[in-house]
Amino acid sequence: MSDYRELYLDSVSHRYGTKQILSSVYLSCKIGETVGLLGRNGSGKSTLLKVIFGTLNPHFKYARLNGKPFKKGYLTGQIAYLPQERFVPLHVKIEKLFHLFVHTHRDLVFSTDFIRDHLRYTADQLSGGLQRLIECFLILYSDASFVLLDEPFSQIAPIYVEEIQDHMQLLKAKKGFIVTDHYYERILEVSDRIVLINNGCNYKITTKEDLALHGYIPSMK
Amino acid sequence: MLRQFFKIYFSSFTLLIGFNLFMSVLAVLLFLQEGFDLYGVYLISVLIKSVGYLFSVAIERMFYANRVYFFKNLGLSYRWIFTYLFLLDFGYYLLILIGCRIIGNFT
Repeated sequence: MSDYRELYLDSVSHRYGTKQILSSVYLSCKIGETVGLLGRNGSGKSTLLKVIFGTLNPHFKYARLNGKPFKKGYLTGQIAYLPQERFVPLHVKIEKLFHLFVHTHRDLVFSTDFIRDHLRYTADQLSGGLQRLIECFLILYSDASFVLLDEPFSQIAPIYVEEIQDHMQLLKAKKGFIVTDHYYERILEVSDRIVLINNGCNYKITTKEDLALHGYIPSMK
Repeated sequence: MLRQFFKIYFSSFTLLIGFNLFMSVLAVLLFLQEGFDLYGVYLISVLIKSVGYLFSVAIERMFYANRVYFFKNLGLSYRWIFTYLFLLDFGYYLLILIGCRIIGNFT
């Protein structure tokens, strides 16, 4: 079966008012694959991730997970989503959060120095950047097979960005990732495949020149 | 699963659980005051409980909207969370009410 262990999305169309954001967009991601999603501000990257996760109902979509159609990604228990905004409650201890989210890879995540050092804190005792990093690890190590990361590298120090990338590599054999960020070079480093959303449509990107061609980065001299 | 369920409820909804228990106590006090035989008292108690539930949903939507991804990443929808919260609360309310009635019959 060709679509086994695959997140598949087709014909996604959505508009805000009269503005068409997504028009028959297609996206797929297999286990063991990292798909980089690029696009200008307001191009519909986050909208697409929310459509997959199920927090936004588009005007049309066809979605399958491991060959089975689904409506809301979060109800499958197989899709986790890191939103742009903070989502963890501030008063709950980090350790408790990991116990809620992480079951399969708990030993692995607790063996990470950075996480182990912050288990006794609550989120409100951490800076915004550290909160973001903790959220990123919660989603990365959650039990979901497909992980959607919306700007995981924003607010985070370069040293920790590398750590996130390392952990993505570590988990890659067991999970599929769809990741979007404006630090496009980081996305290029970490992704197996790049998809650009532009004018509501998706484009396959193979080189940096393609990004310039679609006006995502300045023309290369 | 059940442990996870209670962990989530008691770490995130303590305030709402307390508030709905308070509404239950108000409704029970009404019964103790007016007796259990009046049809209107039952209607008012349902109204009190409904107001409590509506307020609970409104408070969550207004002040804790950013938690939506927290619950959804745990595979829980608000519909699921509130359905169980309210069912459990209503169950407790009925137990308290029946308890009061039984004790009332002996005094």
